[in-house]
Parts: sequence; structure tokens; C-alpha cells
Amino acid sequence: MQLSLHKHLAPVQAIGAGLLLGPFVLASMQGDRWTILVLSFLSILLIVGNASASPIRSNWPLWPAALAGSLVLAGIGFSADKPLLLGGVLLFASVLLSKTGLPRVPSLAIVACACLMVPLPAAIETELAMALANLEASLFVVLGQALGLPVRLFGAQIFFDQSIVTINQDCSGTLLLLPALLGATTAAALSKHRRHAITALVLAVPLALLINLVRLGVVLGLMAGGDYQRADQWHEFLGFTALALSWVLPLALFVDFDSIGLRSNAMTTFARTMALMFVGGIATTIIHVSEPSVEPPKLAVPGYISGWVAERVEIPPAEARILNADQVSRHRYTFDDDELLVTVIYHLDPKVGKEHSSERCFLAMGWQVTKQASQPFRGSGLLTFLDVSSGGHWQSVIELEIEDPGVSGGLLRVQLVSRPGFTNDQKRELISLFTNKILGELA
Amino acid sequence: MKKFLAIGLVILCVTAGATGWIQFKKHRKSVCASWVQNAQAAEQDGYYATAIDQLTLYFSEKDCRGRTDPSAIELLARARPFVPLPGGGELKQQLSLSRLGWRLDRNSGFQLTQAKAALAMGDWRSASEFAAQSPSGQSSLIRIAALVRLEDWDGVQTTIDEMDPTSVSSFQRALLSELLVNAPLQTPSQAIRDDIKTFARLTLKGRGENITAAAHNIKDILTDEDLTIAVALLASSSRNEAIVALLDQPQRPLPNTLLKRLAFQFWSQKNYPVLTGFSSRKVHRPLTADTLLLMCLAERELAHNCSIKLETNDYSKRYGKYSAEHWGRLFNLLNKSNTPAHEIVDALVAMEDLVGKEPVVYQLLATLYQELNEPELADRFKSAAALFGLAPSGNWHSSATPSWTAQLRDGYMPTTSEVDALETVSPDQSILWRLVRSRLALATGTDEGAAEALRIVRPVLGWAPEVATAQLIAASSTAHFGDHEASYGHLMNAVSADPKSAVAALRLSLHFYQQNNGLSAMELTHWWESISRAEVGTSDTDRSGQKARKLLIERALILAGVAEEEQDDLLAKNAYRSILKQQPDNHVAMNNLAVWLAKEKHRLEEARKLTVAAITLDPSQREYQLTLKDIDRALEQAVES
Repeated sequence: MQLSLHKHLAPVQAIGAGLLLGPFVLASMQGDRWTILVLSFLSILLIVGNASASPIRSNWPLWPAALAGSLVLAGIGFSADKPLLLGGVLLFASVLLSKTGLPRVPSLAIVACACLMVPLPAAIETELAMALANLEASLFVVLGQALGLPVRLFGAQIFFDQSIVTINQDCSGTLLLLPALLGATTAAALSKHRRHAITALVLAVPLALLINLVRLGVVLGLMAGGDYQRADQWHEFLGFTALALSWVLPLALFVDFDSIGLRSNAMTTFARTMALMFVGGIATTIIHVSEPSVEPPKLAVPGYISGWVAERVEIPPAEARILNADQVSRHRYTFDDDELLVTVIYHLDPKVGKEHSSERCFLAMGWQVTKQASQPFRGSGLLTFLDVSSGGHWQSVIELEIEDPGVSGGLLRVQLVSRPGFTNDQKRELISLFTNKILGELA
Repeated sequence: MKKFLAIGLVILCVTAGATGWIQFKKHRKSVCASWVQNAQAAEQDGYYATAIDQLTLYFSEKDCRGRTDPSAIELLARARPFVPLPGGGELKQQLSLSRLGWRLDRNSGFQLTQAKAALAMGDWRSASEFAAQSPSGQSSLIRIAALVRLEDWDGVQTTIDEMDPTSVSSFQRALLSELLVNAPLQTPSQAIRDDIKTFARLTLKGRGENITAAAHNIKDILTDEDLTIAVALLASSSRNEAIVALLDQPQRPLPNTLLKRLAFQFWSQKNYPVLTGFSSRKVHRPLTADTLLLMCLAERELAHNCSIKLETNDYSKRYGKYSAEHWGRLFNLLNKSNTPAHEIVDALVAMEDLVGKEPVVYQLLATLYQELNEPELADRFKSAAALFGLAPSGNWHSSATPSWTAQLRDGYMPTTSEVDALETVSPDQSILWRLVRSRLALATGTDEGAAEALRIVRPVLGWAPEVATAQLIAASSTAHFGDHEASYGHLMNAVSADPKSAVAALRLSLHFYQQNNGLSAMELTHWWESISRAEVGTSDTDRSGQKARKLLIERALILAGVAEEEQDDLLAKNAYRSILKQQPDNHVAMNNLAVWLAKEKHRLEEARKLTVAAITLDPSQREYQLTLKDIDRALEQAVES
């Protein structure tokens, strides 16, 4: 494909990018990731507006377009979301590059910023968060012990006197890495000196960690003092502040703000591309919304089963938001002194359902998780046995994941949390009892 | 030049890093050592929780020697029993620590702990083996005690021969001589004062008029360990006055365990003035909360007001946050003269693992439950308190149970607002509000209501299984969900606990059957038989009881009547068969059963036999003749078709 042709097809590509990204942008705006999207677009705008245009000497802006095409084909072929999203953002970048004729460094920066819009796979994000949480907790404990404080470490949990504070996925600062990388990439593209550019990129992650450590210091201090309500308020406020700071700091350190100005023709290109993307986005969103909605099946959770008596338990709104399930309910079952917590989660889209698991969820909350066993259950089902602990408190978890349980082809997940001490056979029997009832109703 | 500078800079960085790392490791080692030192100092001063906290830091840190350090483990094992854990696992932990310590280092201190534990569990063989590994006087005594129980006289002789006479006190030697006076042993003659010998003899016998005087005479020369042994022996023979004579030494700083024993003696003697002045006694360490509780109650008995306050910060450092929080809450409640009874009960129940073995707490709970109109729970604690010679009494609280609760047991159905009002003045561990709340929930007839009823009433089945109403509610709830096996069990429990509830149980079971929720006619008939038998107290195999037989026939007739009215053939047949089982010559039942059987073609022959038998028994009944005619006609039709 010739570059001129590519330039002529730019509006089609922009609309295509909008089609691919529309539902994702809509979902991100309703969730926590809207800040990352805004910062990504802002970074790209700054780079496009400030980099000096030069006559295009090669066909290299075609590469993102070619890559985007391959990814879209792969995404369609394997019914995978991530390649489609990556394809969408690369198409967007490719349009900007072909229209503005930027040199290589700002172009690469634009591609990088566009790619950072796409969230990492959930499993990788959890692993990264746990590694960060463990590192931060260790730093705090070493620092606290050096100051003579009675603090000790267990995984990502800090024991202070008789209080326990957990650094979970939310607090680990994983989300800060993205604005820090966006800010550093922008700074590298806008900086006049190569040395500054490299330094900005090298310092991005340490700066984000440092900012998060300060934020955590304030929150942990409040929690150790027992003021959980205020800690929650500060957690939210400092989270947003740290997010903005992580993005701004590399720019402030390595870019001369006086030299920043937005070129009008670049701005026009950016605005046109965004407008075309918007059209595509609206179209795909309308298609998405107008699709006949499949009603999730009504999950009948038994009120009583073999001596176990149920009591409905409210799921905290934050947890419900993370689960993003089409049906979810939680019941506490009691029998003499024994207690079980049974959570039934149904996702109409199995792909969304697969993003969640008990193991990932407990890890994200900062618990220690040991996977005991996995075994098949009635053909398509999978049973997972876990031992989890937090602050010296142990629990046993058994989770059943069963795809296409009978009606609407979704994914049913039944999680049963009990005291430790039940054998795997007993747990299997228990979960069979509950599942038989639920699946019986579904059938 | 630039290259040299760069290399130099790298070398400098590496050197600085390595030096920093070595210094950091050194610093970590010194931190480890300071944690153990702090723990030792804290344990010596009685700050056991602080010692455990410091040792926990030590064990959690990879840079410290941690779990392979026997001296730290020994220290932790010593402090552990003083800091209660939720659920009372501190002694078990101490034992595991001792086992771990022994595996790491053959230190006799670990064996002594295990020997004591084995002795307490009655495992004489293990106790003697563990004690043999430890050279202390206490170990020798434990070994002798265990070997005496095993009647291993050679072993006893060897232990006595090997025992260092200076390692045990005169009183302990005197006790040993008295204990082994009739044993086939050669005990070395020992010069022991006569008054000690006399007291040892009297203590072991547990009787003797002059035991109190003897205790009074030698109390000053007994060691704290002697006093502990003597008090344990005297308590087993209820020589309370001798215990007071031994321990009432205001100028001697006694261990807290002995002071608590003395305070309890004063409490059980209702010697409140002495108890209120307890704080002026000399003590090794601040009094423990259980002793302070007795002082506080004594103050309330005398002046309706308790001024004793627990220094929770200090207490937390000594005995842990868990213990300090619960005791602190209890003292806060007792410091107010008008604290409602249910709040005190809730506080005591919440700290059950801390006070579960305190006789005075049984007494308190018995008194409070009596006031709260909860006789079943009051009786439970009254009998426990009576074992220690304590009875419900005192005037140190207020309670306000609504007057209508007296009518509850007669079937009064309160309104929701009345139940709410009752709940607010009831402790969590109470029966009344649970019964009324669960009855209300059950009355909704929904799954949620039935589940709620069962959830609320279930604890009552554990606390007081004899409460028939609770069993009936549980039976109704489980029957709602079709668990008839559980329902039957609850109905039988209700009737066994209170035979007067049999009629209610029968009515309920009939109701379950009529709800068509999986209970068969045969099961219902069996239930009625079992419930009626339980009502008169006869077993299934006892068929000779005339009273039971009469009652079973009456009940089966009622069922038959219901079946006839509702034209329920299955129930009717089962009911008549039940009558015939009790009274095989009941011709009315024979005829009626035949009528129902005749409705099924394949049962016509059986029906005819029954009718012929009924006619044979009472030929005057015209109705039986008519039944036979009908059956014969049906048989002819069957043959024709």
C-alpha cells in the first residue's frame, strides 16, 4: 500500500478505530480507567501539537496500520478482545502519523501512548500488583523497624502493634505506572535533549513508586491509628492526586513549559481524527446497545439445604462493581457452629467471567493464597481448592467454574468459603449440594 | 580520561553499595538482638504480651535466627499461657512450642512443661518419661506422682534415691513421706519440723479439727510453691477456712494465683469488707482482672457502686489486647450502677473463653438470667455455681423484662413492636426473644421467614434442648423446606423434653402432611405412633403397656377420622392398619379398611377376608354384611371383565 493511498484512506481508518474502540471507551468512562484514557489522549495531543512536522521520507507510518490490520484479523479469528483493542489504538496512531508527518521519536511516542490505553490482561495486572505491593510493604517495614517501630511483614501485610494493614491491588500503585509512563513518554518526545528524554523514561517507574509510597505512608498511618473512615477518604483523594502527579512530574522536570505550544494544523488533524473516531464509536455503540439483550437466568439459591440455613449478605458496591456480573448473590449458611459463605456469580459473557477468579480476587485483596488442587467437575466444570490467609486468619475456599451451565451459554461461578479443616471430599460434597440446586433450577 | 572517571565512579558505587549492605545487615542483627533482650526484660516484669510482640517481630524477620533459636522459643513458651487467645488456644500453643524447643535443643525446661501437661491430662507414662529428662525438684515430684499412679515402686525408689534433697522444701518432703508411708519403699530418714509434718499429714488427709490452727502456725515458713500445693490439696477436701488461714498474709507479696484463691474464699464467705480492702495488700504484680472482679462485686454488694477500674493500657501490655478489651468492657459496665442486666450478660458471654471456668461468673449469670425471666438458662448456670458452693444472689444490677413475657409460655403472640422492645432488653444468649422472633418469622410462611426462624431458634436448641417450643419451631422450619427427617427429630425431642407438647407435635405433623410437602401417609402414621409412644414414655418394643396401646388406638382413630373426612385413602388405610396392629380384633377397623381396599381391584380378595373376619367377630353388624355384598359384586364384575 502506498503512503498516499494510506493518507486517502485515513478517514476510513479513523472510523474503523472508532468502531473498534467505541464500547471499550464507553465501558472505561463508566469505570476507573477513564483517567488513563484522558491522559493518553492528552499526551498524544501534546506530542502531535508540539513536534515539528517534516516531509515524510519513508513508508514507515504504514507499519502501525499493517500491524493493526493483522491484530484485527487475529482478534476476529480467535474471538479475543485485546488484539482488537490494540488494533484500534494502532489504527488511530497510524492515522495521526500519516496526516501529520512527524519524525520518528514523536511518532514512536504516539504509538506507545496509544498502546498504553489498552489494559493489561487481568492475570498480568494482578501479578504486577502483587509484586509491587510486596516490594512496598517490605520497604515500609524496613523503614519502620529502622525507626524502632514494632512493625513486621507477612506477604503484602504490615502488622503494626496489633493492627494489620494490607497493601492490596488498589493501593499497590499499578495504575500509577501508566500515567507515569505516559508522562515520561510525552516528556521524552517533547524534550530538546536526548539525555533528558532517556532520564525521563528511566525515572518513570521509580517516580511512580515514590509517589505511591508517600500516598501509602499517609493512608497506612491513618489505618494504623484505627481511623479507617478517614483512611478511606484519603485513599481516594490521594489516589487521584498521585495519578495526576505521576503524569505531570516527568513533564515538569524535563520539559520547558514555555516552549509548549499547539500547532494549529496539527490540532486540526487531531480534532478531525477524533471526530471521525467519535462517529465510528457512536455507530458501534448504537449497534452494541441495540443488540437484543439476553436476560441472565434467575439463580435460585436455596434458603435451606441439608441443615444449612441461608441468610442473604449484601455485596459491597465496590466489589459488585469489580465483579461486573450479570447476576450475583451472596449467602451466609450456618449449621450449628459452622459457617459457609456462598457467592454465586453469573456472567453472560464467559470471557468477562474468565477475567475473575477466587485466586486472583484474594491475591488482589492482599491475602496469601495457596492453591491446593484443581479437578474437573461434571464435564465442563472445574473445581479449584484454595487455602487463603490474612493476618493469621485462615480460610478454605472452593470454587466451581462451569461454562454454559444450560441456558444462555454464560459462565457460572460458585465460590464457597469455609473454615479450614474440611477435607476436599467434604468441600466437594458441599459445593455439589449447592450447585445441584442452582443447576437444577437453571435446567 | 572520561573512561577512567566512569570506571572509578562505578567502583565507588559498588564499594559504597557493598559497605552499605554490610552495615545494613549488621544493623538488622542488632535489631534482632534488641528484640530478644526487650522480650526478656518484659517477661521478667510480667509484661507477657509485650514480650510476645517483641518475639513475634524476632520470629518474623528473616535476618534474625528466629524459629531455630531455642532460647527465644523457651521465652515465648513461658509467656504464652499468660496471654489468652480467642478460643483459648494459648496452652496448646505453649505445648507445641515446648515440643519444637525440645527438638531443637535438649533443654530440660521444655520437658518440664510437657511433663506438667501430661500429668494434667492423666497420661502417667508420658509424665514420668518427660519428668525424667528434667533434673529439677518439681520434675522429681511429678515423676513420683506419675509412678505412684502406675504402681511402679522400683521407679519411685530410684527417683527418691536420685533426688537432690535440697531441691525440694521441707513441706514437700514431709508430704512425700506421708504419701508413701504405706508404700513398699525405703525412704531416707529426714529431719523435718514436727509442725510441718503435722500440717502435711492433715493436708493430705483433708480432715482434723486443728488443721486451721496448724496452717496458721506454719504459713510464714512455707514457700509460694508449698502454698500452691497445700491450697490445691485443701481445696479438694473443701477446707476453706484452712486455705484462708494459709493465705491471709497481707504483708507478704503472694503470687496472683494465690491472691485470686484467697479473694474467692472471701467472696464465697460473703466477707465483702475484707475483699474491698484487698488493694492495700502487698503484691508482686498488679492484681489480675479476675481478682479485681470479685473486689468490684463486693463493692457493689456493699455500696451498689464499683470504683475498681482496669488500667487497660497496662493490662494489654501484660495479658494482651484481647483480654484487656473484654475485661475493660466488663469493668466499664460494672462501674455504672444502672447497667442493664442484658449488657452484662452479653459482655460475659463474649468473654466466655476468658471467664468460662470462673465459679463467680456462673453465679453472676445464674442471677442475671433469673432476673431476666430465663429459667432454663438460669438453671444451667445455677447448677455449675452450686458445684463451688455458690448460689444466685446479690443486688447489683437492674433488669426490665416486659410483663407480657410471663404469658409467652401460655401462647401469647406479641406484636412486632413488642418483640422489638423485648429484644432490646434481652441478651443475645437468651431464649424468650428468640422464641417470639422466630415464631413471627415462621408465621410469614415464606422461605426467608422459615430460614430466619431456624437461624434464630437454633442456638436455643444447643443451650436448652429441653425447651419444647424451640424444638417445635425448628420442626416447622425444617418441614417447610421438606427436610422431614430433621423435622421428625425435633418433634421427638420436643415430646421427650416435655410430654405435654405431644398434642402440638401431632397437630404440626398433620399440618406438614396436609401441606403436601413430601411427607407420606405412612410416615405420618409412623410419626403419630412414635410421638404417642414418647408421650407415655414407652419404647417401640414395649407392646405390653395398656396405656400406650389405648393411646395409640385413640390417635390412629383421630387420623382415620381426618382421612375419612378428606377422603384420603392412603392415610385411611395406614390409620386402620395402625389400629389393627394394636388391636387385631377391632372389627370396625377391619370393615372400614376393607371398604377402602375394595376400591382397588387387586385388593378385593384381601378386603373380602377382612370383612369375613369382621362378620365372624360381630355377626350382628348389618353394615359388615352390606360391605361383603358389595365386595362379592365387585369380584363378580372383575371375573366377568
